Amino acid sequence: MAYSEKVIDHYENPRNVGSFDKDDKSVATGMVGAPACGDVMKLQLKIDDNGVIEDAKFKTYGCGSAIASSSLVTEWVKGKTLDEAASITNTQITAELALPPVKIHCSILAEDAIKAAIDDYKSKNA
Amino acid sequence: MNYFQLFSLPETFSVDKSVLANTYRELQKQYHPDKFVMLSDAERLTAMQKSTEINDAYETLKNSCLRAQYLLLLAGLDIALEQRTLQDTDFLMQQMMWREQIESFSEDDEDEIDAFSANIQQQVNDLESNIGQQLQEEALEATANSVRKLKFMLKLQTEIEQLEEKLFD
Ligand code: FES
Repeated sequence: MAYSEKVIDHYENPRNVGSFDKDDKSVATGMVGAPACGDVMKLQLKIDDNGVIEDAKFKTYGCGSAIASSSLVTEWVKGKTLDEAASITNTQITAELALPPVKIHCSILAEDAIKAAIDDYKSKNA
Repeated sequence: MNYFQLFSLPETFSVDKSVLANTYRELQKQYHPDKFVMLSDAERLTAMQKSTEINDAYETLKNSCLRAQYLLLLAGLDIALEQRTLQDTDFLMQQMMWREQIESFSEDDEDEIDAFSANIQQQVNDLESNIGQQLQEEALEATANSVRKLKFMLKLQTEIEQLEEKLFD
């Protein structure tokens, strides 16, 4: 299957690969997996005192589309508030990366990773 | 007729592998395309469909994950095409760690890889026995969850195989 140029770009030069300390209170960690294929994704957000995402990192064991989706959202979420980040949808990711229908679950992974990270942050700082 | 009926097997998670393989061979013979050259187009089409169905059934029944998924479908829960994500953090952290470990192995780690692979196999066995139990108890959601986890374990096994091929072949 042909990947779009944007997917290839993110796949070959993934942005923001890595980890933060998940026990740090200002770090939100989202772990999600796609049963459809057995791929896993970890997305971490570093959140400043004003509730703004100052940095993001990811680690994905998965296909090119999943890597590109997670790389893309780490760029998108920076500078956003948690609510703004939570409103990112897989449809936006799919459109930006021109993903074909069979790769939709890969972008859902990235959307859900943001949501899972925010949930983690809220439960940690409740 | 469902796949189990087609193979005259009871609708249970545990199947007798040798009965399955023998029945498959029998059915294949019975519906072999070479036998249909003399038939009318309509009859040949039916026979071809039957032979495809036999192959699909065999692929489904011989694979524990697909078999469990199929039993769930028969019980009214279709998870084959679901796109929702799994969010069990502990389970996924463990998956991450295992995948990092696979990444770190080199050709000097043959013993470690063997031990690693045996551990994963043990996890697969445990999950499969859970699935058998849960299906018996008709705990469909719990079964579905175990099947989802099994898929991650099977993916790990594929990755171990690929690693071994890369390192040792
Ligand atoms: S194929 Fe699994 S995330 Fe893309």
